[in-house]
Amino acid sequence: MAKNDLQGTLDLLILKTLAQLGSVHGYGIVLHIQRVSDELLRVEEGSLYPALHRMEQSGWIQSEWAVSETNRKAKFYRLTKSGEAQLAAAEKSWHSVVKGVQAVMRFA
Amino acid sequence: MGMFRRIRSLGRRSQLDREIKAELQAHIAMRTEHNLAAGMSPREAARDARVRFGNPTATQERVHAADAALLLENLWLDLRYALRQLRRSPGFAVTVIATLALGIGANLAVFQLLYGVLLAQLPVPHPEQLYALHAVRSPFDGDWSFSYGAYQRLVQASGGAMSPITARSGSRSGYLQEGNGPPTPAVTQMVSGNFFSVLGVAPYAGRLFTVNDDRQGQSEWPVVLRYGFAKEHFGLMQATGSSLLGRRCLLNSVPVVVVGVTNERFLGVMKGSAPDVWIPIEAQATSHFGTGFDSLGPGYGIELGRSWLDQQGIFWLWLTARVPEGQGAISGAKWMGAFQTDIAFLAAAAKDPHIREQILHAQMDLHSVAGGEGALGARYSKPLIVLMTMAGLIFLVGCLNLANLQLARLSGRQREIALRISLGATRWRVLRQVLVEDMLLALTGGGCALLTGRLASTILLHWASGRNSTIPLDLHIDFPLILLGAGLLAGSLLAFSLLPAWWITGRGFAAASGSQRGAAADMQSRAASRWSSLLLAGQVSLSLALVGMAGLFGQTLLYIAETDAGMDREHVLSVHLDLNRDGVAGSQADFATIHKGLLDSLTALPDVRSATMQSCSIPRCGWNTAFHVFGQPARTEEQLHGEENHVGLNYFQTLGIPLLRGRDFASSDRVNTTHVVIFNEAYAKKLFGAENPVGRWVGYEPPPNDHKFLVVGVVGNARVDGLRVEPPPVAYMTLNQTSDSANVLEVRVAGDPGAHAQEIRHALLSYRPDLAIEEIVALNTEFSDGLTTEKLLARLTQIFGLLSLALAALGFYGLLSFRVSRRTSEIGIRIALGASKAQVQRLIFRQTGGILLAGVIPGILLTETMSRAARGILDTSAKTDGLMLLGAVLMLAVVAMIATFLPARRAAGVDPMVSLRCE
Repeated sequence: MAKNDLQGTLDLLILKTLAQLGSVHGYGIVLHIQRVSDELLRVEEGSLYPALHRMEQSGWIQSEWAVSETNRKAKFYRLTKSGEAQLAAAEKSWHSVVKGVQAVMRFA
Repeated sequence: MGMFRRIRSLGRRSQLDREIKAELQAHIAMRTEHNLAAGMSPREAARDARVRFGNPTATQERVHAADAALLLENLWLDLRYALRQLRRSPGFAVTVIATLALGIGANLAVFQLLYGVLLAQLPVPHPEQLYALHAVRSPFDGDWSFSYGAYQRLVQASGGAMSPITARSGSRSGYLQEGNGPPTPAVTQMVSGNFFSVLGVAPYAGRLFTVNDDRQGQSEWPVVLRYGFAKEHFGLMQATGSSLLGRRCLLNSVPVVVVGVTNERFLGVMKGSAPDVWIPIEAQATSHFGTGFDSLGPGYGIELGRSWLDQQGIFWLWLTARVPEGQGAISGAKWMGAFQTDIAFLAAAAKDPHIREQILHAQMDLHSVAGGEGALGARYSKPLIVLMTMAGLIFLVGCLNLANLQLARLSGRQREIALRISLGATRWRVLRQVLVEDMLLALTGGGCALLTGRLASTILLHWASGRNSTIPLDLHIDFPLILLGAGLLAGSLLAFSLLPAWWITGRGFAAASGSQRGAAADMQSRAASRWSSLLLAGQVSLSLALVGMAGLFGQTLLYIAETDAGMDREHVLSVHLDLNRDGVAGSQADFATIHKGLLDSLTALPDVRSATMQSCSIPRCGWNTAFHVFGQPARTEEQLHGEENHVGLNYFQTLGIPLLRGRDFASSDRVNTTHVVIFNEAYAKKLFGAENPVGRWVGYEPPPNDHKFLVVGVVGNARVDGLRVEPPPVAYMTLNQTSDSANVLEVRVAGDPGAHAQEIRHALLSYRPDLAIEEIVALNTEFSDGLTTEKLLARLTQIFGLLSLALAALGFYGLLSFRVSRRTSEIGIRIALGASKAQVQRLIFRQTGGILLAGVIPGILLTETMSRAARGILDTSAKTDGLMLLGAVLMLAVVAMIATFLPARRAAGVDPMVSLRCE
């Protein structure tokens, strides 16, 4: 998928992942999305960190350094209050997009 | 919220950098572990992780790009990088700044002058409401002047004390004297009491005139000083303090008291001339204040020595009115009603029935004078427009030069730019860095341009002013000027920065990241090279045009300056006196004695061949007259119009004007003998056609009064109105018969006139120590004073021409040095294969020749077009001949060849061993 197309969707996926997993680092997000979507979605790792940084600047997520399960220092992210609101909004618009596309597809 | 976070992260870039790097490394490490756990070998695991992740540096850059706050930090980094780069190539920086300063500065200077002369409005509120009143033209000079009585009637009809009509006289130089101090020359103008209030001029100190000052017969007259004059002659501190106000002085020996000073920007209503002192018009009755005037002429009981305030036939006031929007026509009609008595009077006095009709049907017209009155604009508008065009051309030449420099510089940095792009920089990022560097230069150059412009416009004004005094002009830095400067700066940035940078950083650039020398064979640099040649050729064309124009104007100046003036102007000195100043002369007889005494003291000097007097000065007389011929059918004033001059004995010999027919004035021509007149050839032809005028009778009025003067001689034509115009028709009368005081002496000397000035001054003063000598100047200098516009044009175009040659030389030098440095390996090969030094040099010179050729042909076309346009605008007769064009082309070619010399020598000095080894 082209980078721009995926940006909005990538934001949604990241926010949802954080909502589901609570506190997770960047690599963890990649793994989660890959696993849950059955390898259908592979996050472009080069776009992940810019997106994370951007969302952190917008105040939707917050970060802190901690030690991972493999005893490695990594940056962990979690959702903020405004992040939760943003997630709800993004989810809603995603559903309407899907509905619209499906309607067009079904029209034949 | 986000904004605060962004601002907070400013200044913590290095920490942020470290964090991001650590985070990315952690990611790769975690995947490596994952792969290891999945069973890959350590090397494979690591490799797979890195491949999957992609370019960490690129990702780091993209994270940065996502961070808006870092934009500012990036700019700061760009700035520091730009400064480092510029410090490394100071030649480039200095050239750019100098080119911008000169190119933009020239435009700013000319525009400031143009604006001040043509576009600027009077520095008063609502100048668009100011109108000059035009009703009936004065009899001889054809001016729109009014008599004092007419003015009073108009004031009554327009509201009395609240009238929006103001009056002013012409300006005349006078003397301001304080106590026993030396007299200071002060140009004086008489104005009505409501002059300043109607115009809306604010005082700087004290008060300005009110209607109460319009009283006749005051023992001590209030005067208002111009700010500049007050500052210059009384010091600024005093002008602010009250010590200047209430000061009592003598103005032309009349007691006056200073009541106020105008604000700094007000220079009167005539553009280009600023009176120093204003006094109420009623002061004219003291007869100590002269001014330009017109009158009905002899036969109407006009006495110039008596007060003019109650003489209907003297026209000496110009009227200006403030009329609100849309009320022009109504006011004009209303005021015409009050003017009817004057119309009747003027009509009755008109001798020509044609003119009488015109007067009876005259309307009061209002002419906008928002921009000030006077002919300064008319005189300088066309030359200034021509100069503005040329300044624009210089700017273009400068831009082309800079574009070329920039192309060369960026081409040299191709490798670095390609590297950056391959490391992940976006094109925008690279462009931005180049832009920052160029903006630094542009801003510095712009700043210098402002300074240069300011200096240059002062110098320009000085050159345009001529010998004696600088034209007072309000050179105010206004909004339009700043707009022009900013526009030019933006334009130059676009041309020399954005476009080349955009072009260079585009189009598959990363592919060109091969060796610097090898890139010479690359398509892109071939295109760049073509563009550079084209730009340089363009520069050649423009430079040729500028040099050609310099030649044109130089030639025009020479041509006019050497025009035959009809007199011997190489050996004559003019002495300007002021015999009308009180105490010097009283009656007519006094004048005659003084004249004789002065002339005798002069002719006694060894080197003086002859001396004479005249009432007029050459070349600015302007004494209009008309003669009717006895026995001829009636003709219009136009057909009889000419100029008049009253001269002493030996006038024509002194000036070297040939006597063609009849006789000269003699000492036998006295007041009680027949009054005689001598015409010049032009006037004789005008009045008499091919007939011999000697022995005929003429007069000032139509029959039966046309039998007054006997024509006794005809003299040659002389350009008494200046070198630019055709010799006018002139009638000469002898001072012995007319009642005139002549204020100008003409002295013919052997040798250089200038060298005798001191001697003459000494002789005159020893005859009369209290003589007021205004000026002693060679006649030639007076003629050349009238050529200020031609001199200004010639000088400036020469400067522009030289500038453009310098820029062209720079362009050639820069381009060819650059080309030589890039083709070093190729040249090395040629030399290794047996080419001689001369052949290599010829190779380089051939390039120059090619560019010259490409540029010269359009250049010649451009020169022709421009010179044709300039001639059309300026009405000159000199034209660009082939010889001059050839000269210009040769000059350009020589300059280009000299500029190519160094690079060619460098090329010939290439050591093939060295050049072929380095890659």
